[in-house]
Amino acid sequence: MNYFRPVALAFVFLAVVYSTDSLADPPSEQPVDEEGWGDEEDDDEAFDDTALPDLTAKPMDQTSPWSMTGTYRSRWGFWLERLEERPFAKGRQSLDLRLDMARDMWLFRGEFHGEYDLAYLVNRTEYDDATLDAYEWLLRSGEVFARAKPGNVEVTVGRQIIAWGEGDALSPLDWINPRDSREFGLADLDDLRLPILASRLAIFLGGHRLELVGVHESDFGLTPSPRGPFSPFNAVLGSFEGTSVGPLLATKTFELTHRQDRFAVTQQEVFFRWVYRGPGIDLGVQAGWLLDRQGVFLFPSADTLATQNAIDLEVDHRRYAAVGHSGAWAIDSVILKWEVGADIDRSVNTGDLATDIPEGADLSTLLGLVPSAGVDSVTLVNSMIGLTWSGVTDLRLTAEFGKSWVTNGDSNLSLPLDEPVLLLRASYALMRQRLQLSAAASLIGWTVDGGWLVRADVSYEILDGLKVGLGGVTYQPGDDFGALYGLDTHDRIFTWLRWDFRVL
Amino acid sequence: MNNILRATGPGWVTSLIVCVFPALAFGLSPDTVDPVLIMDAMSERDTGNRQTATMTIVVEDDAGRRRTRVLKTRTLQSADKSKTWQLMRFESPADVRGTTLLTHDFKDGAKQDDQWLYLPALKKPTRIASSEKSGSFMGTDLSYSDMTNKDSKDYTLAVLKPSVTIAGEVCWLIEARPKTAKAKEETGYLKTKFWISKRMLAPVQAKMWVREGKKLKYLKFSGYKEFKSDGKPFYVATRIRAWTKRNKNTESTTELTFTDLKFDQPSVKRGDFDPSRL
Repeated sequence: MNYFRPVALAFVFLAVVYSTDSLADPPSEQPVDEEGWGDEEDDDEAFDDTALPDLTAKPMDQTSPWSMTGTYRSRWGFWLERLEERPFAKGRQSLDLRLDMARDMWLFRGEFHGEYDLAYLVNRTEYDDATLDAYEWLLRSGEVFARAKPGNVEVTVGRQIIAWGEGDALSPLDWINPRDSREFGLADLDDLRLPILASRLAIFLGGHRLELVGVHESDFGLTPSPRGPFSPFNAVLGSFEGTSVGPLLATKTFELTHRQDRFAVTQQEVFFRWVYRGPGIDLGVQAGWLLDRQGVFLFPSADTLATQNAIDLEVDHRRYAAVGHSGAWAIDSVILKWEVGADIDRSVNTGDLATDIPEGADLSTLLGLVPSAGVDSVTLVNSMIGLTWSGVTDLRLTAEFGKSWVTNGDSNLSLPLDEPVLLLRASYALMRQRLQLSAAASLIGWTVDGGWLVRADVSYEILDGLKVGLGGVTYQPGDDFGALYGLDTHDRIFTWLRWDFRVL
Repeated sequence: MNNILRATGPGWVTSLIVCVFPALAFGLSPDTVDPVLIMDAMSERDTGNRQTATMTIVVEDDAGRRRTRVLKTRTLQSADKSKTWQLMRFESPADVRGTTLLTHDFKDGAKQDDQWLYLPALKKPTRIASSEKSGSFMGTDLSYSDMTNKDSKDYTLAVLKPSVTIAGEVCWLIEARPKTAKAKEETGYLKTKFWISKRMLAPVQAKMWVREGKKLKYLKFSGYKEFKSDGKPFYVATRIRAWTKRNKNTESTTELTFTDLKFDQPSVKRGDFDPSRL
């Protein structure tokens, strides 16, 4: 495992942070010195501001109920470990537009998202159709809803994003919206949650909020294509290379399909939440009757694998019940956050998917080794605890730890839902917050052998609304099947430009 | 974004906008030379209530790079003035539009303020810490500490000049030196000089000695407008210019302008400040 890169990134980050005055010399510790402030010639009675620039701003026209804003992003990535054969990891250009009409108690919103990835113009024939479908183009609506707020009630109907739970990055109670999980560890915060068709009723009673949500659409998010660069299945399929079925599998195409229709009366989901936000503490309790966003995989039979060229990997999103509690507590410079919940009778894949395949194995040996996954119904208890510290000017440190337990059923899960996850993040602002440094590390499992990634970013605001950034990420996959499985040659550097603008 | 909108202190709008009754309304003699009496009278002044405003902030650094922020604010005080609720919503630029900061400020210094930040990208409010105050307020030349009312017990106060005329206003010149560790840490200042108008009981200008980097910070308040509360006049500074100097060179300049400033607005209700509505 290459430990050098993340350690170096961490040292660079710490070196920059600790070289600044604010950390090296706490203000209250500096010796008091009445001389040398450069104001010996100041005329205290008349501050001379004649040489200062004229900063008079033109007043904004805020009379129109309409507003339209947009964001253009250009993101480029380069594989560090595949520079010779396929250097372009990403050349994604995206445009987001939002139109709002707000008048009295009403808000109408319409959003559009479009993206095209130029990286797929290079070495195009090396990608299968499912991968091009998943990564090359994306046109979708964002939030499109009507909202009314009569008195202490709020009603929202349409495609919307509803974020529950207290966790910033780890949030086992954030049940409602599907995710864009095409690129593990790389998605922008703006893109992470995908809107879903829902009706939401909220009632406000002082610091209390009661919410009832009905979800009318079965959308399970954007996932890596089976042969895509971030698919753990790709690594499983790759393990057959060098075997007698390797050439056979190389001719097959794989596609993820969902057993559930997108719209069906029988697939409605219901959620309820009570939240209290008051002096010093926030508390919440929630419950849901939902379809599993992740689902269980119904793997094709050996006969299907042998006889069909286009193979569907079907995912069944079965219903289960969930309950949870969340909270946040402020103690001076520290915010403590927690979540705990239970998924009751949730269906999961069980059995090992990652199998060591001996090179040159014959068919009979392989048949005995073919990964097999069963389906079992379990009760999962999920938890998250997080700490955020902001005790030093412009520095913010966050740690979140999540762990789940199987309390009822087969605990040999194919996907490591019960593996502990530790997330560490640091961000520091310089130049009056024009320059931002950030670093994040994610560790799966109790030791580094479980897999981890480290990411570091620098962003700089050139003008109002115009930012550029540069960063890098390194993946160190573990031995077990999971989100990082098979990401052996995925380290990349990336750069981006973001322009936020206002049309109306 | 949390770095842009870190913890604010209590009642900053009321301090910045500087709503004041004439000094004589407090029974404060223009001849008084008691600095504690003067500073307490200034911080205890009536600051109006149920307030809405649009705040435009323009910051320019030494390289001439300019940044503009536009915010809408709503402020409400409890009847006994023990609590101040404040809502700030970014209107511009587009990348921070919709970002909202809600502050519940308790006058009792022993109670910790509550703050929640709503980030449009996150789609949910999150509680944030409100303890760090010496940092820059949204990248401006002002700190969060500049926006807060001060307790005179935390400072060594002295009247340097009992009467001096600044911009046509007869003022007291008062020096404040933080004496408690808390005040030293919160302000980051060696000392501050205030020129306080005797007519309006409001600062006309101020100068701060910043310990970190031995910087000097200058503030000028202008554009005072007269409003009335219960038939009594009070004055509001609608323009604040601040600049920071280091080794005689101006590092940056900030201009805060308040427009659409209104008081006693029936539309400002307690429910607007419930964090459950963010």
